Amino acid sequence: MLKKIILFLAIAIVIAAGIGIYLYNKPHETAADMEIFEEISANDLMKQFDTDRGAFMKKYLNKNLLVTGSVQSFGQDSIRTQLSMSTESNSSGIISVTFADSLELKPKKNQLIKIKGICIGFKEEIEMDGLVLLGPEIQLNQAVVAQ
Amino acid sequence: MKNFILSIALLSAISDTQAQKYFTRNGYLGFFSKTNMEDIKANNESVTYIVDWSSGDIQISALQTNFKFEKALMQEHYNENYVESSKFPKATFKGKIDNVSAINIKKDGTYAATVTGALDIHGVSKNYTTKATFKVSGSHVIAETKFNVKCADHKIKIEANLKNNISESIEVSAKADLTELKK
Repeated sequence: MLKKIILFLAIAIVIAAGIGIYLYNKPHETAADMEIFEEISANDLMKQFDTDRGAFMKKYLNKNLLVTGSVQSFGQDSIRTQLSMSTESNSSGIISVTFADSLELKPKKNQLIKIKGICIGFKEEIEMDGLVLLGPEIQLNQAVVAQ
Repeated sequence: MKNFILSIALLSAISDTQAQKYFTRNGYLGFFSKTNMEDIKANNESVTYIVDWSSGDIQISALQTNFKFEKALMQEHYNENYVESSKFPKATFKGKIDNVSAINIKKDGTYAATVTGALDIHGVSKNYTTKATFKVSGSHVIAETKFNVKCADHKIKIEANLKNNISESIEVSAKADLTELKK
Protein backbone atom coordinates (compact mmCIF):
# COMPACT_ATOMS: atom_id res chain seq x y z
CA MET A 1 0.00 0.00 0.00
CA LEU A 2 2.76 2.41 0.97
CA LYS A 3 4.63 1.54 -2.21
CA LYS A 4 1.55 2.45 -4.26
CA ILE A 5 1.21 5.79 -2.48
CA ILE A 6 4.89 6.60 -3.06
CA LEU A 7 4.58 5.58 -6.70
CA PHE A 8 1.47 7.73 -7.13
CA LEU A 9 3.19 10.73 -5.51
CA ALA A 10 6.29 10.25 -7.64
CA ILE A 11 4.18 10.19 -10.82
CA ALA A 12 2.24 13.26 -9.66
CA ILE A 13 5.49 15.14 -8.98
CA VAL A 14 6.92 14.21 -12.39
CA ILE A 15 3.72 15.35 -14.11
CA ALA A 16 3.65 18.59 -12.12
CA ALA A 17 7.31 19.22 -12.92
CA GLY A 18 6.64 18.50 -16.58
CA ILE A 19 3.76 20.98 -16.64
CA GLY A 20 5.90 23.54 -14.85
CA ILE A 21 8.77 23.14 -17.30
CA TYR A 22 6.37 23.37 -20.25
CA LEU A 23 4.74 26.54 -18.91
CA TYR A 24 8.10 28.14 -18.15
CA ASN A 25 9.42 27.39 -21.62
CA LYS A 26 6.23 27.75 -23.65
CA PRO A 27 6.77 29.78 -26.83
CA HIS A 28 5.14 33.11 -27.53
CA GLU A 29 1.77 32.67 -29.21
CA THR A 30 1.67 34.11 -32.70
CA ALA A 31 -1.22 35.16 -34.90
CA ALA A 32 -0.62 31.98 -36.93
CA ASP A 33 -1.59 29.91 -33.88
CA MET A 34 -4.83 31.72 -33.03
CA GLU A 35 -8.28 31.63 -34.56
CA ILE A 36 -9.20 34.78 -36.51
CA PHE A 37 -11.69 36.92 -34.63
CA GLU A 38 -12.60 39.21 -37.50
CA GLU A 39 -11.57 40.09 -41.05
CA ILE A 40 -11.51 43.86 -41.53
CA SER A 41 -9.90 46.63 -43.55
CA ALA A 42 -7.40 48.97 -41.93
CA ASN A 43 -9.74 51.88 -42.65
CA ASP A 44 -12.76 50.25 -41.01
CA LEU A 45 -10.67 49.23 -38.00
CA MET A 46 -9.45 52.78 -37.53
CA LYS A 47 -12.98 54.13 -38.07
CA GLN A 48 -14.25 52.03 -35.18
CA PHE A 49 -11.33 53.22 -33.07
CA ASP A 50 -12.03 56.86 -33.89
CA THR A 51 -15.73 56.44 -33.06
CA ASP A 52 -15.36 54.93 -29.60
CA ARG A 53 -11.99 53.88 -28.17
CA GLY A 54 -13.48 52.16 -25.15
CA ALA A 55 -15.77 50.02 -27.28
CA PHE A 56 -12.87 49.32 -29.65
CA MET A 57 -10.69 47.99 -26.83
CA LYS A 58 -13.51 45.92 -25.37
CA LYS A 59 -14.12 44.32 -28.75
CA TYR A 60 -10.61 43.85 -30.12
CA LEU A 61 -8.06 43.68 -27.29
CA ASN A 62 -6.04 40.44 -27.46
CA LYS A 63 -8.01 39.30 -30.52
CA ASN A 64 -6.45 37.99 -33.69
CA LEU A 65 -7.46 40.18 -36.64
CA LEU A 66 -7.11 39.62 -40.37
CA VAL A 67 -6.43 43.13 -41.63
CA THR A 68 -6.09 44.38 -45.20
CA GLY A 69 -4.44 47.72 -45.76
CA SER A 70 -1.99 49.81 -47.69
CA VAL A 71 1.68 49.76 -46.62
CA GLN A 72 2.87 53.14 -45.40
CA SER A 73 6.31 52.03 -44.28
CA PHE A 74 8.31 48.85 -43.74
CA GLY A 75 11.46 48.20 -41.76
CA GLN A 76 13.44 45.04 -41.08
CA ASP A 77 16.75 44.43 -39.32
CA SER A 78 18.30 41.74 -37.14
CA ILE A 79 16.03 42.59 -34.23
CA ARG A 80 12.63 43.41 -35.68
CA THR A 81 10.29 43.36 -38.64
CA GLN A 82 7.65 46.08 -38.62
CA LEU A 83 5.31 47.80 -40.96
CA SER A 84 2.70 50.49 -40.71
CA MET A 85 -0.58 50.75 -42.60
CA SER A 86 -1.97 54.12 -43.53
CA THR A 87 -5.64 54.88 -43.01
CA GLU A 88 -8.10 57.57 -44.13
CA SER A 89 -8.58 58.47 -40.51
CA ASN A 90 -9.75 61.85 -39.26
CA SER A 91 -7.30 61.41 -36.41
CA SER A 92 -4.33 60.66 -38.76
CA GLY A 93 -4.11 57.28 -37.07
CA ILE A 94 -2.08 54.38 -38.37
CA ILE A 95 -1.93 50.66 -37.76
CA SER A 96 1.48 49.45 -36.57
CA VAL A 97 2.32 45.82 -37.16
CA THR A 98 5.18 43.90 -35.55
CA PHE A 99 5.88 40.51 -37.13
CA ALA A 100 6.65 37.30 -35.28
CA ASP A 101 9.42 36.50 -37.77
CA SER A 102 11.36 38.22 -40.50
CA LEU A 103 9.84 38.41 -43.98
CA GLU A 104 11.52 37.07 -47.09
CA LEU A 105 9.46 39.20 -49.45
CA LYS A 106 9.66 42.82 -48.34
CA PRO A 107 6.44 44.77 -48.86
CA LYS A 108 6.67 47.99 -50.84
CA LYS A 109 5.11 51.35 -50.01
CA ASN A 110 1.43 51.60 -51.10
CA GLN A 111 1.29 47.85 -51.66
CA LEU A 112 -1.94 46.25 -50.52
CA ILE A 113 -1.20 43.65 -47.86
CA LYS A 114 -3.23 41.24 -45.74
CA ILE A 115 -1.88 40.34 -42.32
CA LYS A 116 -2.99 38.42 -39.26
CA GLY A 117 -2.02 40.18 -36.04
CA ILE A 118 -3.00 40.22 -32.36
CA CYS A 119 -4.37 43.58 -31.22
CA ILE A 120 -2.53 44.55 -28.04
CA GLY A 121 -3.85 48.07 -27.71
CA PHE A 122 -3.03 51.51 -28.95
CA LYS A 123 -0.79 54.50 -28.38
CA GLU A 124 -2.60 57.80 -28.12
CA GLU A 125 -1.81 60.82 -30.24
CA ILE A 126 1.19 62.89 -29.21
CA GLU A 127 0.57 66.57 -28.51
CA MET A 128 3.04 69.37 -28.01
CA ASP A 129 2.11 73.00 -27.36
CA GLY A 130 -1.55 72.13 -27.86
CA LEU A 131 -0.95 70.72 -31.35
CA VAL A 132 -1.44 67.09 -32.30
CA LEU A 133 1.85 66.11 -33.90
CA LEU A 134 1.37 62.37 -34.28
CA GLY A 135 -1.90 60.53 -34.70
CA PRO A 136 -2.86 57.47 -32.65
CA GLU A 137 -1.46 54.05 -33.40
CA ILE A 138 -3.31 50.75 -33.18
CA GLN A 139 -0.79 48.02 -32.40
CA LEU A 140 -0.93 44.53 -33.89
CA ASN A 141 1.73 42.09 -32.67
CA GLN A 142 3.10 38.63 -33.40
CA ALA A 143 1.81 39.13 -36.93
CA VAL A 144 2.14 36.93 -39.99
CA VAL A 145 1.41 37.71 -43.62
CA ALA A 146 -1.88 36.09 -44.58
CA GLN A 147 -1.89 33.94 -47.69
CA MET B 1 -1.40 91.64 -51.76
CA LYS B 2 -0.63 92.32 -48.09
CA ASN B 3 -2.77 89.32 -47.07
CA PHE B 4 -0.95 87.12 -49.58
CA ILE B 5 2.46 88.11 -48.19
CA LEU B 6 1.24 87.60 -44.61
CA SER B 7 -0.09 84.13 -45.53
CA ILE B 8 3.26 83.16 -47.08
CA ALA B 9 5.09 84.44 -44.01
CA LEU B 10 2.75 82.49 -41.70
CA LEU B 11 3.11 79.28 -43.71
CA SER B 12 6.90 79.64 -43.66
CA ALA B 13 6.85 80.15 -39.91
CA ILE B 14 4.71 77.03 -39.38
CA SER B 15 6.90 75.01 -41.73
CA ASP B 16 10.03 76.18 -39.92
CA THR B 17 8.54 75.25 -36.55
CA GLN B 18 7.68 71.78 -37.84
CA ALA B 19 11.25 71.37 -39.13
CA GLN B 20 12.41 71.67 -35.52
CA LYS B 21 10.59 68.49 -34.55
CA TYR B 22 12.05 65.03 -35.01
CA PHE B 23 10.41 61.72 -34.24
CA THR B 24 10.26 57.96 -34.58
CA ARG B 25 7.51 55.42 -33.97
CA ASN B 26 10.05 52.57 -33.88
CA GLY B 27 12.36 53.63 -31.09
CA TYR B 28 13.85 51.23 -28.55
CA LEU B 29 13.34 50.87 -24.81
CA GLY B 30 14.79 47.97 -22.91
CA PHE B 31 15.24 46.99 -19.33
CA PHE B 32 17.65 44.65 -17.62
CA SER B 33 17.53 43.05 -14.19
CA LYS B 34 20.67 41.34 -12.92
CA THR B 35 20.81 39.13 -9.84
CA ASN B 36 22.93 36.16 -8.76
CA MET B 37 20.01 33.88 -9.58
CA GLU B 38 19.19 35.10 -13.08
CA ASP B 39 19.33 37.91 -15.64
CA ILE B 40 16.04 39.16 -17.03
CA LYS B 41 15.84 41.28 -20.15
CA ALA B 42 12.93 42.79 -22.09
CA ASN B 43 12.88 44.84 -25.28
CA ASN B 44 10.33 47.13 -26.88
CA GLU B 45 11.04 48.28 -30.44
CA SER B 46 7.79 50.15 -31.06
CA VAL B 47 8.40 53.15 -28.86
CA THR B 48 7.33 56.62 -30.00
CA TYR B 49 9.83 59.41 -29.44
CA ILE B 50 9.33 63.05 -30.36
CA VAL B 51 11.74 65.93 -29.80
CA ASP B 52 11.25 69.65 -30.33
CA TRP B 53 14.75 71.02 -30.92
CA SER B 54 13.63 74.63 -30.47
CA SER B 55 12.25 74.14 -26.95
CA GLY B 56 14.07 70.96 -25.94
CA ASP B 57 10.75 69.24 -25.16
CA ILE B 58 10.88 65.47 -25.43
CA GLN B 59 8.09 62.90 -25.17
CA ILE B 60 8.32 59.13 -25.14
CA SER B 61 5.45 56.67 -25.21
CA ALA B 62 5.60 52.86 -24.97
CA LEU B 63 2.91 50.21 -24.66
CA GLN B 64 3.71 47.86 -21.78
CA THR B 65 2.40 44.88 -23.74
CA ASN B 66 5.03 45.59 -26.37
CA PHE B 67 7.91 44.65 -24.05
CA LYS B 68 9.06 41.28 -25.27
CA PHE B 69 10.67 38.79 -22.88
CA GLU B 70 12.49 35.64 -23.91
CA LYS B 71 9.97 33.60 -21.92
CA ALA B 72 6.25 34.04 -22.67
CA LEU B 73 5.42 33.22 -19.04
CA MET B 74 7.67 36.03 -17.78
CA GLN B 75 5.93 38.41 -20.18
CA GLU B 76 2.54 37.37 -18.81
CA HIS B 77 3.70 37.86 -15.21
CA TYR B 78 5.19 41.25 -16.07
CA ASN B 79 1.92 42.48 -17.55
CA GLU B 80 -0.52 40.82 -15.13
CA ASN B 81 1.32 41.01 -11.79
CA TYR B 82 3.98 43.71 -11.96
CA VAL B 83 2.95 46.62 -14.16
CA GLU B 84 -0.77 45.67 -14.37
CA SER B 85 -0.88 46.73 -18.00
CA SER B 86 -4.67 46.32 -18.22
CA LYS B 87 -4.93 49.27 -15.76
CA PHE B 88 -1.79 51.13 -16.84
CA PRO B 89 -1.23 50.28 -20.52
CA LYS B 90 1.55 52.76 -21.20
CA ALA B 91 4.88 53.94 -19.87
CA THR B 92 5.51 57.58 -20.74
CA PHE B 93 8.22 60.16 -20.33
CA LYS B 94 7.72 63.92 -20.66
CA GLY B 95 10.65 66.18 -20.16
CA LYS B 96 13.25 68.50 -21.56
CA ILE B 97 16.75 68.41 -22.92
CA ASP B 98 18.34 70.81 -20.44
CA ASN B 99 21.07 72.11 -22.74
CA VAL B 100 19.30 71.76 -26.11
CA SER B 101 20.98 74.87 -27.53
CA ALA B 102 24.29 72.96 -27.39
CA ILE B 103 22.96 70.46 -29.95
CA ASN B 104 23.29 71.54 -33.57
CA ILE B 105 21.08 69.26 -35.66
CA LYS B 106 22.49 70.79 -38.87
CA LYS B 107 26.07 69.75 -38.05
CA ASP B 108 27.22 66.14 -37.89
CA GLY B 109 28.70 65.17 -34.57
CA THR B 110 27.99 63.66 -31.15
CA TYR B 111 26.58 65.97 -28.54
CA ALA B 112 26.37 65.29 -24.82
CA ALA B 113 23.27 66.48 -23.01
CA THR B 114 21.20 66.12 -19.87
CA VAL B 115 17.55 65.18 -20.01
CA THR B 116 15.18 65.82 -17.12
CA GLY B 117 11.57 64.79 -16.92
CA ALA B 118 8.78 62.72 -15.44
CA LEU B 119 8.66 58.99 -16.06
CA ASP B 120 5.22 57.49 -15.54
CA ILE B 121 5.12 53.73 -14.98
CA HIS B 122 2.37 51.76 -13.28
CA GLY B 123 0.42 54.97 -12.66
CA VAL B 124 3.24 56.52 -10.61
CA SER B 125 5.20 59.48 -11.94
CA LYS B 126 8.73 60.29 -10.77
CA ASN B 127 11.30 62.81 -11.96
CA TYR B 128 14.59 61.62 -13.37
CA THR B 129 17.67 63.35 -14.73
CA THR B 130 19.91 61.39 -17.05
CA LYS B 131 22.90 61.99 -19.29
CA ALA B 132 22.23 61.35 -22.95
CA THR B 133 24.06 61.53 -26.26
CA PHE B 134 22.66 62.89 -29.50
CA LYS B 135 24.55 61.81 -32.59
CA VAL B 136 23.76 63.92 -35.65
CA SER B 137 24.38 62.19 -38.96
CA GLY B 138 22.87 63.90 -41.98
CA SER B 139 19.10 63.89 -41.61
CA HIS B 140 19.20 61.52 -38.64
CA VAL B 141 19.70 62.17 -34.94
CA ILE B 142 20.38 59.11 -32.82
CA ALA B 143 19.52 59.65 -29.17
CA GLU B 144 20.77 57.28 -26.47
CA THR B 145 20.67 57.07 -22.72
CA LYS B 146 20.78 54.64 -19.80
CA PHE B 147 19.50 55.10 -16.27
CA ASN B 148 18.24 53.10 -13.29
CA VAL B 149 14.71 52.79 -12.04
CA LYS B 150 13.71 51.37 -8.66
CA CYS B 151 10.63 49.15 -8.78
CA ALA B 152 9.46 50.45 -5.41
CA ASP B 153 9.47 54.05 -6.70
CA HIS B 154 6.67 53.10 -9.11
CA LYS B 155 4.85 50.81 -6.66
CA ILE B 156 5.91 47.69 -8.58
CA LYS B 157 5.82 44.92 -5.98
CA ILE B 158 8.22 42.00 -6.13
CA GLU B 159 7.01 38.90 -4.29
CA ALA B 160 9.17 37.87 -1.33
CA ASN B 161 9.98 34.50 -2.93
CA LEU B 162 11.32 36.27 -6.06
CA LYS B 163 13.47 38.91 -4.37
CA ASN B 164 16.59 36.94 -5.31
CA ASN B 165 15.48 36.63 -8.94
CA ILE B 166 14.49 40.22 -9.70
CA SER B 167 16.66 43.22 -8.95
CA GLU B 168 15.12 46.10 -6.99
CA SER B 169 16.88 48.50 -9.34
CA ILE B 170 16.35 47.95 -13.07
CA GLU B 171 18.65 49.32 -15.76
CA VAL B 172 16.65 51.10 -18.48
CA SER B 173 18.15 51.71 -21.95
CA ALA B 174 16.67 54.05 -24.52
CA LYS B 175 17.69 54.52 -28.14
CA ALA B 176 15.94 56.30 -31.00
CA ASP B 177 16.82 57.09 -34.60
CA LEU B 178 14.99 60.37 -35.10
CA THR B 179 14.09 62.00 -38.39
CA GLU B 180 12.27 65.18 -39.24
CA LEU B 181 8.54 65.26 -38.65
CA LYS B 182 6.97 66.38 -41.90
CA LYS B 183 3.30 67.31 -41.99
